[in-house]
Amino acid sequence: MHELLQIIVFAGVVGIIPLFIPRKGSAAAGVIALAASIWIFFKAIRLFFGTGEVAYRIALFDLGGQIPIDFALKLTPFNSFIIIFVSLFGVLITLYSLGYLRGSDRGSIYYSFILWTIGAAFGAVLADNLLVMLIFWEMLTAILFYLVNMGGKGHEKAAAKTFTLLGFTDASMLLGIILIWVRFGTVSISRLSVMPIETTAPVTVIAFICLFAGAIAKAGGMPFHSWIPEMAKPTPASTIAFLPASLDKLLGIYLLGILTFRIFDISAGSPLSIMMMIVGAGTLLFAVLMALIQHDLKKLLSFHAVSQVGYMVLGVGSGIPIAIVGGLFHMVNHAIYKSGLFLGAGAVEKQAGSTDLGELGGLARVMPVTFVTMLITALSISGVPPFNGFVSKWLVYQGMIDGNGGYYMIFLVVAIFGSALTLASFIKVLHSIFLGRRPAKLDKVKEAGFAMQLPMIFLSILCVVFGVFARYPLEKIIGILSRSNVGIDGYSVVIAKNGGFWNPTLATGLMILGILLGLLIYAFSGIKKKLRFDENPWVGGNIMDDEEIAIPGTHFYKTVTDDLNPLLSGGLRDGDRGDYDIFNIFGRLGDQVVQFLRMMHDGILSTYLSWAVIGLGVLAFILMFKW
Amino acid sequence: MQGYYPLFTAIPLGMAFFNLLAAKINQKISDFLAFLAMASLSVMAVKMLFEAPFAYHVGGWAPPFGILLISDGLSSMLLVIINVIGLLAMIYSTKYMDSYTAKEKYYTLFLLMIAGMNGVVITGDLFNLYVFLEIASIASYALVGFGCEKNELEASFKYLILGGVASTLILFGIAFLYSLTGTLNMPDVAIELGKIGMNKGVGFVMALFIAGFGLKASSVPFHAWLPDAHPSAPAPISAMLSGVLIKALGVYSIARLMFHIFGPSALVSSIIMFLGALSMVVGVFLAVGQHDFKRMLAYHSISQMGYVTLGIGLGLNPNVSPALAALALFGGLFHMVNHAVFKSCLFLCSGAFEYRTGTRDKLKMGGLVRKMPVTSATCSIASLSISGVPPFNGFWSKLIIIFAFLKAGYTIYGVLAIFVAFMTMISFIRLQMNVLFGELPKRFEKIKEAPFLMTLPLVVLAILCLAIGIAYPFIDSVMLEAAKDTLLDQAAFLSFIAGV
Repeated sequence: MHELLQIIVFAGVVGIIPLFIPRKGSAAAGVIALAASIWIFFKAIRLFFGTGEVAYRIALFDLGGQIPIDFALKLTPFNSFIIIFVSLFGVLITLYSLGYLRGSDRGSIYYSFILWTIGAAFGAVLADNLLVMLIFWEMLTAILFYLVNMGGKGHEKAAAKTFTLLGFTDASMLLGIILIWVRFGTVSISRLSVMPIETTAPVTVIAFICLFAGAIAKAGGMPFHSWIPEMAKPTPASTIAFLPASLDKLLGIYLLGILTFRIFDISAGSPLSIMMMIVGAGTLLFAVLMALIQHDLKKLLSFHAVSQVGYMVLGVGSGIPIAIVGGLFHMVNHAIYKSGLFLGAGAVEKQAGSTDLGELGGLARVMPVTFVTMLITALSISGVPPFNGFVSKWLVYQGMIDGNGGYYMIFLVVAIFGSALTLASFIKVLHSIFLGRRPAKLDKVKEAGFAMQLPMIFLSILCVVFGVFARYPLEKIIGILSRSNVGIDGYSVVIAKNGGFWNPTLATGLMILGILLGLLIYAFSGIKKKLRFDENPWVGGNIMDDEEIAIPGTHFYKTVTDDLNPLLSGGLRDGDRGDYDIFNIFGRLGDQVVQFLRMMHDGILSTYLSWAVIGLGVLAFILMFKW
Repeated sequence: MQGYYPLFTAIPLGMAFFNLLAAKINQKISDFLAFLAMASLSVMAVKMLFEAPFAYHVGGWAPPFGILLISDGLSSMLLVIINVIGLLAMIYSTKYMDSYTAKEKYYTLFLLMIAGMNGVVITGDLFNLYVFLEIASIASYALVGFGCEKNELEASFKYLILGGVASTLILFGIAFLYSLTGTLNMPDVAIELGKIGMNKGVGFVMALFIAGFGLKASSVPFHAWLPDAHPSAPAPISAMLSGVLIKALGVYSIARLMFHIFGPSALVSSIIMFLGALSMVVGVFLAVGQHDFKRMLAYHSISQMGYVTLGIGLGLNPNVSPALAALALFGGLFHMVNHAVFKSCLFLCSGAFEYRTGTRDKLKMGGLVRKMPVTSATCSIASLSISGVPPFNGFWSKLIIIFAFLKAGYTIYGVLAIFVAFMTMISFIRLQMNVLFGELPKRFEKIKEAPFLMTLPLVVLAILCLAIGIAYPFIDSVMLEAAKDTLLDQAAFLSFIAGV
């Protein structure tokens, strides 16, 4: 069997095994899944470092000679880069699940779904045919539905919303694909990429928007984002770290990349490009505002998962080479730090029994590993140097500065402002969970198990590596882009051309030097002696207890919703209630139609008979007199 | 096989009455005999798939005066649907119908319905078609009211009245056609009509047929009986009615008559496509708002049959290229097969849930996946199939129909088909949300999985959903050719009589 097909079939077939393992032996199923995912990871590495482009093609069906559809898989530099992360997250999540799901009553079938997810994601990424891609894409949607349904209270509504929103955009993708099919006679990605596809004809624009909707819904961009916050709370942390946080980002932005620089010719400043940038900027701003006012850790993180998509869409959609590099790099970085954050949230949830920020606090001392990993990932997502999130955001900012037109400055300001708000939001997170006073009922909390720690540690190391040694992944991304329609030069030329280019390794060296200097001054200047630690704070002679002086993190940005600006705070409150949720708006519209139709069906026989008679009359009239 | 062709009606017809006698001796024998009849019919039906088309003259009397039975790809396909789904429903019934009285009478009615449907499908004679149609219809009226509760009897009565109207219209149509052509033998009628050409009389006959068979196929606006009748029947009968009866009596007959007797025409094509699209949209909106499990499924039957009608409608259009017409037709017929599989699976699932929980209200169920894993898994698979999620079978047939319509330039119908697929998906997401997942109500703490004889047909049907979906790319061209040969080639149909 061909090596590309082999991986997909392998994941599909091995995924059947856990179905036969009873609930009690789910750890065995986990070990099988772990072994399988490691094997897939090694396969992916071999493909990544292998020689050039591998293609597999077999005629799938030809619809009666109308238009032949190939089951085509093709390994390109772009997707080999994606699959390596897909399989890496597969390994990490399976490992984490072994610890996280211990003692829960979720059956072995969970691991089947994880393996099938990996297989389907490989299929979607490797597909060289939009229809084949869509088939795997929809499978992922369906599998996600069942994974969410394994969650806690309220899971069924969240799962239904997820499937509905993603199902809608899958349907719109189908429309887009068939429109391309009818107009250009092929849906093969490699064939479309060598065709000039103008984005002026209405059909092409509609097709693009349909496909774009599919891409951003998967990634979690507005206005199709609301499934992520909804599913965040009930869903197991491992699932949400795997799909919405990492895999769906990779897939969604991969598709966006395929659309913008392989299939359609979208130049910087074109209307479609500006539309995408508006979607990106809007997503990153509104979602981060929503994140500020959340009280639940998982829900807060999920709004950031939406917000960060904004940077990727802004970067990739801008059509400016350096911003595209930034957008794609941000996709990878986001997958790394956001799954790290969710895994940390899962560890807190498992050990402390809650994800409500109001109930947590002071866990840094008892969960040091979780604290450090979450600190690193939180700094990464906030765009603090020298971590990876900063590098990619910086590239996006640079792209905006490069942009030819005053409105790029607006996008730049929004992007930087969004980053600042992200930092603000994570200060609240870190304070509420790890710092401050520890509530009495959390006294017995211990650090998470090793199987859970390992993926978290690994991901935070990756955050540092990709930040400090950003050159290597960037060279790879630039290499991918230089072979596509985007005009971009090699890495060194990019550096030479862009004066403000961030040289991460040098900068980090200087930063470490600065910190060392500071430590030296601290050690030898005698400041230490002047510091004073009071055990018991007091006011007016009265010693205050812990409860009174606790500073709850949940109060940090209350002013935003309370009394800042009536328009903004009212809007945020409505947004939190779901008033602007496209899911709710169309749900209400649909109900109206249903009510009308139900009113017509009154259950009275003579009404029904009269419909039949009128129908016959109309038919007879048409067939006899309109022939 | 040719010599045994009449057995498709003879076996169930004979067994229907013999079974009543056997039940006097022992109920178990009656169960077994009914099963045996259906099993042998299924085996024969599957064998028929591999037969070349032929005409059978009953008693050796030559047409156009003798009775003609015909066998081609279309009739073989329908025979397989009727008898295989019938067998599974029969297996299911042996356990499920224990909660009703007079099981042997149920078998009699069931077998009569099978005999009627088989007869409709194999006959080449218009009057025989009417007779078999009535046998199947009358049996189904009785079966809908089989529970003898208030609602069931009301539904049965509505069904009886509207079904009676349909039969009358069809009989009128046949009578008019007889007066126009002087014959009732289908190929002969087609030849005579070719000589007459089109006139107001023929137009009126067509209107009568579309309305009459439209009532049987329950396409909007002739659909109103179905949402009452299908949920009221016992679950295996609901599966037979939605999965098989509306196809064999309604859609099959329309296809047979329009393609082979009247021939393709642009006007009829646009009427049928319009009816299909209307059914598709109205049905799905009504289904989304339903709380009653089986009633929701019944509305989906209307909606899904809309797809089938839509595909057949485009196939009738002489103005699109023959390859595209064949594609649309194939999509419609393939969807018919798929619908038979997943819809009967869903109805049987609803029966299994009702059997254990005692309710059909979706909102009163919940979390059943923990208690009834097999039924839930099959229900889930069938739901994905009907929603058109790959790799299950419903995806392919919808894809073909949507593609054919967008390619042929009927953009609105194509987009509507996509939209309805999405609405169907919503509706089945809600179903799964309410029934399978969520909190398990306290009073269902102690329920068990449905009995083996009830889950077996479910598992078979769910496997079929997956198997057809995965196998589709491999059998695509074979099936497409078969659809093209049987329906689009009127000359082949006429040769059934010329060979005498």
